[in-house]
Amino acid sequence: MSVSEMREPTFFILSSLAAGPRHGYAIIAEAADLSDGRLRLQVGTLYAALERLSEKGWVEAAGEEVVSGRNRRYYRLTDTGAAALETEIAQLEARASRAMARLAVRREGFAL
Amino acid sequence: MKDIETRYRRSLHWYPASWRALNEEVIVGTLLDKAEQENRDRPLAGELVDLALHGTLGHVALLRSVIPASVRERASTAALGIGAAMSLVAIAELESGRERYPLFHATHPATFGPFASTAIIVYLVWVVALVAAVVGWTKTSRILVAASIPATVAARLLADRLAMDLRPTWTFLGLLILLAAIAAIGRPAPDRRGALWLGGWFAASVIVFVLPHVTDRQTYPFQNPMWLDERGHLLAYLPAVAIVAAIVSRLLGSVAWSAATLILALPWAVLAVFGGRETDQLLVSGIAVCAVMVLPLIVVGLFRLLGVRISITRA
Repeated sequence: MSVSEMREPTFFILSSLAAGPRHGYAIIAEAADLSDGRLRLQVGTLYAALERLSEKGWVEAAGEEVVSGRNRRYYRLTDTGAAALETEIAQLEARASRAMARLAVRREGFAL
Repeated sequence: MKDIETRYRRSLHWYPASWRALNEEVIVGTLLDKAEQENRDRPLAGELVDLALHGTLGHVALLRSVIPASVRERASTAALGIGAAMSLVAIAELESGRERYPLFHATHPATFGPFASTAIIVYLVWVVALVAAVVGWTKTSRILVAASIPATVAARLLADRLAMDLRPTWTFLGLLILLAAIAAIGRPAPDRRGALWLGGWFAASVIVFVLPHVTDRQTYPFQNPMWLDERGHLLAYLPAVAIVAAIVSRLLGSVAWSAATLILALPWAVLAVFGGRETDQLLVSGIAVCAVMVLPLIVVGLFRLLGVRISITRA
């Protein structure tokens, strides 16, 4: 998968890990927050995505701990993952800029 | 252990055992964290479906890591050709056989519009998947055959509920499900040569399924929806043919085709054991012994395909 084809769940998972290591539920909560509640990741989907991203070298496990009798595994963004996220953000920004430029033309008025 | 935790752990049985050993505690912890935050004391249906889906895909991923891509592509191509041929013949003979067998249809009034049963949807999905692979839409084709698996189960359950007596048997549909699973693990017809192989498998399979009709109407396998159950010999002789084909392929130097042929024999062997007659079960047991004898040849070949060399040296 090229960076330009990054899917929305991947984008928000990487974004949620950008600020530091997170465990499973924290990633789900932060992805929902970052997407204004639009992305509600299922647990099976999350771990399938984390496994895929680990194979690509974009994220890695960063230790486990037991809290209230529940195992938590933390994941962190790797340098490669951070670079992929930066590239995706730059592409999104470029697309947004182009769209804004078109809107500016509309505001200035156009003739058929 | 709380009920919700038990149910979550049970639903993780969809995953491969090796995956569960590494991840079960962590994923259960996350599921319980989520349930707690949402003030739930029972799993959501969506969660269970999600776990079942990804667990099943985990098995597929495991298979993909064990079987070389060249073998998967060949098995997938052949399975798609055979499944599509079965579907096309089923459409012609089982689903639109009103004019050919008017008396039979007259006594079984519950139909699916002009067709005999809801299974027509499954058959059409297979035919569209074949066309998609031939024109190069490999991904679409794989998605369609994978989707045909739940569609097959749903079509049969619906036919049961609507009392469609002309519905195909579970044996017949089980064969299609197993072929769909094989077709979905690889890329069918990945290139022009693959498309030619796909066409070849399809044409040969149509001939095999139609030929008995030309010689003897009574043995025509698609005459009766119960064909596989009543004429179980069809189940048993195909694995035998496959073993011979695998040996010939291996001797001719094509390890990939040899392994793919053995994979293709599995659906018939499984159905002969679980759905066939006693003679079929005995025959398949004999074939299994032969397969074990052939297996070392295939395994050594697979090692070569994977680039693994084993050497024995004196210490």
